[in-house]
Amino acid sequence: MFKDESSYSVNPAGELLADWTAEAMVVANNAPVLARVEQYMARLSLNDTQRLWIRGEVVAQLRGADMEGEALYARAFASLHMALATLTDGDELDARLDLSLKLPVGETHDGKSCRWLQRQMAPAIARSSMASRPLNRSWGAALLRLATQSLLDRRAITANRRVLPGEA
Amino acid sequence: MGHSGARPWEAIGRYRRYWLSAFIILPACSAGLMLAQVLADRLPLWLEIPTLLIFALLFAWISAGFWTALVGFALLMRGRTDTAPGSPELRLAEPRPQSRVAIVMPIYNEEVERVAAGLQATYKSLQQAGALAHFEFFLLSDTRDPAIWLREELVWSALCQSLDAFGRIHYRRRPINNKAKSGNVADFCRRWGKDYEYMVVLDADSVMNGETLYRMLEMMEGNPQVGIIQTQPVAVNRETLYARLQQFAQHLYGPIFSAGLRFWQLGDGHYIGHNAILRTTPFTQYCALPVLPGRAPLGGPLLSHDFVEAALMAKNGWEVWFVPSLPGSYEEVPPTLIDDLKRDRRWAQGNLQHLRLLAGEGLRSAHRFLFINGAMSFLAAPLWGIFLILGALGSLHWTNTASGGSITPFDRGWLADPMPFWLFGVTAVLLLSPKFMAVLWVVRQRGQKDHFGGLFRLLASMFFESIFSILMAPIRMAFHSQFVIQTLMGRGVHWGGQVRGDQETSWADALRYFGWCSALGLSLAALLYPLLGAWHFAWLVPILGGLTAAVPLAAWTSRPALGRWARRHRLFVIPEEVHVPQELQALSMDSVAYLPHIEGDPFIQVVVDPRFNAIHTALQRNRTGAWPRAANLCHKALEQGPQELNNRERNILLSDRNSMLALHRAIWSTTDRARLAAWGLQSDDQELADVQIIGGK
Repeated sequence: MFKDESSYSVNPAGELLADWTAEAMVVANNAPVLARVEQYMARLSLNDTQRLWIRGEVVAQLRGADMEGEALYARAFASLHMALATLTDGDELDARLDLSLKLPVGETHDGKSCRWLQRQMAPAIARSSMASRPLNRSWGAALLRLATQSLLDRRAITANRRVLPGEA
Repeated sequence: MGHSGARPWEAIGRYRRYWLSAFIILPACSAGLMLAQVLADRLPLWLEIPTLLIFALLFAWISAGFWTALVGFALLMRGRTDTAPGSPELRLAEPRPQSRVAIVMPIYNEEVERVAAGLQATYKSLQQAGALAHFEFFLLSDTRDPAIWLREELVWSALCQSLDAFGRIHYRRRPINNKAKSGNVADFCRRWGKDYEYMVVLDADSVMNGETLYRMLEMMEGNPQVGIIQTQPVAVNRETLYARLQQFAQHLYGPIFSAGLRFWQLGDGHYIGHNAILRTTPFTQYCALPVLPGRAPLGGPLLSHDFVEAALMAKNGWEVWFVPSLPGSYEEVPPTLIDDLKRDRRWAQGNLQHLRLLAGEGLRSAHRFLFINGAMSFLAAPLWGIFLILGALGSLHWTNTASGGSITPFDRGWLADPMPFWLFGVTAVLLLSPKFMAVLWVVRQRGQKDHFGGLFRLLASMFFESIFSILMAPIRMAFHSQFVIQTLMGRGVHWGGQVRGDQETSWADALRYFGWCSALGLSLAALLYPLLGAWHFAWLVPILGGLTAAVPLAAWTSRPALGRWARRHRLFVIPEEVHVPQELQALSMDSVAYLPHIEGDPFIQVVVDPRFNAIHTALQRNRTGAWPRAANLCHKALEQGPQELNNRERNILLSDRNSMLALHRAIWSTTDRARLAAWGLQSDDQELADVQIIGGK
């Protein structure tokens, strides 16, 4: 569950939280992974609260993870994307898209920003046919037409005229 | 269909065209007879007859231009544009609320920022005119280069975001671009044409004023018999000397020619493929282009679609009007002679193809004439070349027979016969008088000459432009002749993107393209001078001089610095530079500075950057059919790096949503330094150091 800043409380007594040491260990042991995660998040327009919350989610997922190398990175990024998806209560791609388009994350288009963007790009298709019509290009036929229409009947008009609304 | 009542302008148009035909044919015949008198008994028949025929044809060709300019001049001097009954300007109607216009902009490997700036300028102008509710924009891309495609997508989304125009500016990229631009527009008509009663077709460099667009819509609404309304786009914005000369000429001489053209054409007007409004339903129904039998260049798909579309529209009873009085329609001209000739190469092939449609059943005679006129724009060049060769042969024959084979440097015998001077004078009047008419018209309008830099600068600009045109004419003749011969010999041209920026021509390129022209000019001069003598040779100096100067002319006129120098000295100034219209001010590159700047390879950026990746991926579909191939390519990209993928492979990956997501995740999860570097990401050590430095600060 994502929390905004109003949900965070302070610890006036300054007591050590039980999980604090364990979390510090995770951060210390996975510094390169977290640095990569930070680098990734820096490219998104996250606010501080969102960034801290996602980071916390990633750290939580790394706690106790018994893996290294690419598997560890993959885990970290999987949890990062899961956290992003939680922001929109949907898909991480929708969340990234909202952030890219500077839209309130998860609050517009029912969280389906990808589908919305596709519709903006290309409206619904209303198909119509457009096929070329046969055109008689024969010179012989043209000369015959010239002789019969233009010379014999001088009143003839070669083009067909469209009937306008209101005309018989 | 089938109703055959005459339209009010038809009888007027027929009457005017009879007069035009008489004005063209009679003087051409008279000039031919005059020349026949000069040549009679001096040349053998085999030389005389072809010389006379070609002369009469070329004379008719230039006199058509002269009469058009003269009529246009007379109309403009009377202070009114032609408004024959039935003109669309006479009947405007307020657009119905449901009238929708699609402004379509077909693009192909264009400079994306320039396209965006033009579209934004038109959009804002429409917004300012309060007419945006009727209009939607469609960027129709045929781009094959994935780097440009990605830029187009990102720029589209940024543009929509900045203008709050999601749902009003659309983007479509065709996966297969058959039939080039006409196919792209046809693709739009098939998909969305039903939803839009009208469409305005723009070029990638077109800009239009919002009020003009609204006026065009009003004309269409008020004239349900009109299928196409074409504006006269004016050339603006270029900096090279070559382009500035073209801009100046078009601004100064264009209006009188346009007014004259409109006078002859009326409702049988032409369509130039952009900056025009079209009625979508008849366009979809009747204007799909025929494919000519046989192979390219003279067969196959039509390369120049616009004239044919107008002819098909008119054939089916719809009127096509050219309305030059509509202001606020802009385009850009090719920046250099090389780019101009490249465009001419395509047009030459397209216009020669039109000759195969001449006998098409039901086409209106005005459109058949437009086909001939278009083809003659290029056929005139080889005809002129042949005429010059015949003239040189005639002179040689004459010199030899008159002086018994001995050549005198200045044969004064010519001066005795005034007829050649008369013919030369008449030809010069036909060619040059439209320039003076245009100046006279500008001077007569209050304040207008200041828009061309003042009277003195206007005259100086006209003088230099005329010299330039005279020198350019033989170069064009040489190239156009080459284009015609190439086309007739079956050598086609490929569809390519156009150069839109002010790129100057290097001396090496000038030599490569025009070296043969200069060599030809020099060789002919060296060959002909001793044979013809000074007097006969003097007549050929403008032609041989132009050919010889081809290399330096091409190189120098391509310099933007020279163009800017001319502008500083108020030479070749156009009104749009004195009072810059708002929509052109909005074209500056600063206006699109907010667009995403992609450094390096856009493919890498779209795979790696989470924002760019989100926008691009969101717009793709899952192509399950392509997944096995795409999966292999994903592995190749990861193992060998993006540089090893060719454009085709990149296109496959970019078109598949799954591949884009998989690659994005895999790259961010990799630990291999070399791979990270190949995708433009820092290794972990560097990342950590950076994080620590930032933390320390």
